[in-house]
Amino acid sequence: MLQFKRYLSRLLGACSLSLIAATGVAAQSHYQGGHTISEFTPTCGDYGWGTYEWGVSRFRPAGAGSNPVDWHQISFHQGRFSWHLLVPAAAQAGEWVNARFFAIGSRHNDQSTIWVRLIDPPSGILWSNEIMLRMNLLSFEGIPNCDITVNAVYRATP
Amino acid sequence: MKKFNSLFPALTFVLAGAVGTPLLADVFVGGGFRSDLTYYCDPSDPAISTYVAAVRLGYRPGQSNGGTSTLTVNFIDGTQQIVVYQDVEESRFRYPAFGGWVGFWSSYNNIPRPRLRAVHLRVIEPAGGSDIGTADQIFVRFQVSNYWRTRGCTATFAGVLVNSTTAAYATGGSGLDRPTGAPAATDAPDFVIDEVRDFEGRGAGPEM
Repeated sequence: MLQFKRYLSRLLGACSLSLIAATGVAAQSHYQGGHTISEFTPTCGDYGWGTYEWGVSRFRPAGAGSNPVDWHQISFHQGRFSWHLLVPAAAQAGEWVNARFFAIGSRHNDQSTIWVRLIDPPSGILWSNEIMLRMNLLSFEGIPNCDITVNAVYRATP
Repeated sequence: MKKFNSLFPALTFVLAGAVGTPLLADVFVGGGFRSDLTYYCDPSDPAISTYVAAVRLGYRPGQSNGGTSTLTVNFIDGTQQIVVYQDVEESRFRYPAFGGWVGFWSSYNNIPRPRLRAVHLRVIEPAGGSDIGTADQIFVRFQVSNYWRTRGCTATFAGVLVNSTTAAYATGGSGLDRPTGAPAATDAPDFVIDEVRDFEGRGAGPEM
């Protein structure tokens, strides 16, 4: 049993390591903060999106507390639209990975897969217990060629 | 000599026009959090320093808003505004400010007057940029002293903000080395909210 716990501990450590590498901090189970969406492609505009969006957001890192081991959970809340993203815990900055997308208040209310690529955050600006998440998403809201960039910053919440 | 007295203002006006001022003031909007409330914000609450509230943020840098810098914080229960009548630079200086709160249950001007310190004012996009007034994307971290109309109470606000004045559609493709094909269906767990938390608004501060 002890060996299994050690194995689980190493597994959790490995899963959270990649995002920690991208964000630069150790993971706690629940974070609150906010985000912006920018660099919408013109195709997004054809479906009613403007040139920018912003809102409040939550982040639950994989393997921390009771969170799922294999997936980071992120929810984004804008005025009349909310969406949720599951990003593989093993995602590394600079590589495309399959994430899971789910939205409400939009034309696209079912779950789907989506390409996501994490971007390294700038260094030297985060305090302890803070995470910055930057990423490119392709085919946002299930719209082919609607690509966006997300910037978000979070603080651990006890 | 009298002729020159009238010439100088005219010349100044022409030069100012030649140098050019922004046609539209740069307004940044985004999101982040309020954190690190200090002991004097509510001495009766031992957990006061641990509270985190997710907030929407607005910031108008004085550098591109005629020398008036404005921080706006939207909570669930109202909006806080902090105004400094000069350009705010990243430094240890705490700028004298004017504050106001408009909430569902109360509205007031902040007395004693707050002070605003910019701990971080960083350009995220364009990468390597330094002009906070006209950047596309910025990271900010402000400390507000005399917050909640309480002397000795300091709160920290941090967030990422996009320039809503200059934001435009990305043209010519995203410039990304895109993967080919649709992403494979992944065996992800269901979307489950496993506990209930609110965003801990408490923007108005403790009952006074």
